[in-house]
Amino acid sequence: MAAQTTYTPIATVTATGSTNAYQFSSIPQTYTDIVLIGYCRSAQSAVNPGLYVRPNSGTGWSWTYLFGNGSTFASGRSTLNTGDGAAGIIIGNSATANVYASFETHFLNYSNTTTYKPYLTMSCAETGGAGGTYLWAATTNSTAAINNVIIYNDSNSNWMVGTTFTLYGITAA
Amino acid sequence: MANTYTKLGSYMIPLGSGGTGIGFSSIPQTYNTLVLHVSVRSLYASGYDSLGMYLNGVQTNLSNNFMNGTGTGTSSSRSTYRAISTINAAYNNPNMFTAVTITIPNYTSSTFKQIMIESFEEGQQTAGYGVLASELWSNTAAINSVTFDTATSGVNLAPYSTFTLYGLKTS
Repeated sequence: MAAQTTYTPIATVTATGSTNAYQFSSIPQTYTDIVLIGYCRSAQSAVNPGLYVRPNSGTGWSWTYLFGNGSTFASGRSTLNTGDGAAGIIIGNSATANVYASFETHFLNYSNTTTYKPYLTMSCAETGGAGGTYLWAATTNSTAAINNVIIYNDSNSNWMVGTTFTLYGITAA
Repeated sequence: MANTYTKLGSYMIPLGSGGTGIGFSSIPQTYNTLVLHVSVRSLYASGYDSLGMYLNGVQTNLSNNFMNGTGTGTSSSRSTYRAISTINAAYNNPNMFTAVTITIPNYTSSTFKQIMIESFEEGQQTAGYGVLASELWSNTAAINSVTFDTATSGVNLAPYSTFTLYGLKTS
C-alpha cells in the first residue's frame, strides 16, 4: 500500500532577527486541518512575553486559557471580541541564552465556509526554574475559510535568529 | 509523494516481562521535530507512578513545570527530576494505560530543548490525572537517544506498554 501523506509541510520560515511578524498567506485549501509548529525567541526585554497567532488577520473572537507556572494554576476567558488575546507565552531576550519556546497550534476544519473555526495553541516556555505552560482555545467569528495566519509577539518585537515556524497540512483521507 | 510524518521506531514490552530503560537510540538527525506517542503503565503496586524520560543518557539540567488536573482540583508544580507525568500502576485496573504525547521541536539544534508534554491517565480510582507540561533540557547537544523508565527505583514499566517515535520534516 502506498504511504499516505500526513503532516505535509506547506511552508517554513526561519527568522533573520530583523522581522517582527511572519505570515503564511495563500494557504492551500486542500487539507482537513493545518498545524503550526514554532520554536521561537523574541527580542523583547522580558522573560516570558506573549505569543499572538491570528488567522485571517481578523479581529473578534472568544477564547479560554489554562496556565501554570509551577506554583499557580490559572484560567480565564474573553468573549469581548475586542481584538488581540495572547495565544500563549514564549521566551524573551531577558531569559538565559539558548532558551527558546516551543508551541503548536491546530486549526481544525480550517477551509470550510459554513462554520466558525476552532483553534488550539499549546505553548511551553520553561526558563529553568521559572516560566510556564499555556493552553489556549479560541474560535474565529467568521465562516470564511482560513487562508492566512500571522505570528507576532508582545510590542511587535523582532523574532530572534534560531526561530522557526512551520505550517503543515493534514489530510483526513 | 513524500511521507513527512515518518515512524522511526516502535516497541511494545512483551507479556511476561517488565521494562526499564526502554527507548530509542541512534535517532536520525535528518528531521526537524520528534514526536513520541506512548501508551504506558507501571508495575508499581502501591499507587500511581511517574513516567521518567531522559535524553542522550543524561539526567541532569532538567527543569519542568506542570499543569495538573485531577477531576476535582487543579494545581501547578515544578521539578528538576526526570519524571514527566503521572501514570497508571498496578493499583489501577490492569487494562488501563496512560496516554502520553511528547513533542520535541528542533531536536538537532545547538540550543536548549523545550519539550512539550501531554499526558492523561484515567484509572477508575478516586482521581484521574491530566498533565500538560514544559520541560527545558539545558543542553546544547543534538538529541540522539530517548529513554523511558518509571520514576520509582526498582519498578518496571508494565507489559503491553508501547512506545512509538516519529520524525517530522519541514520540507
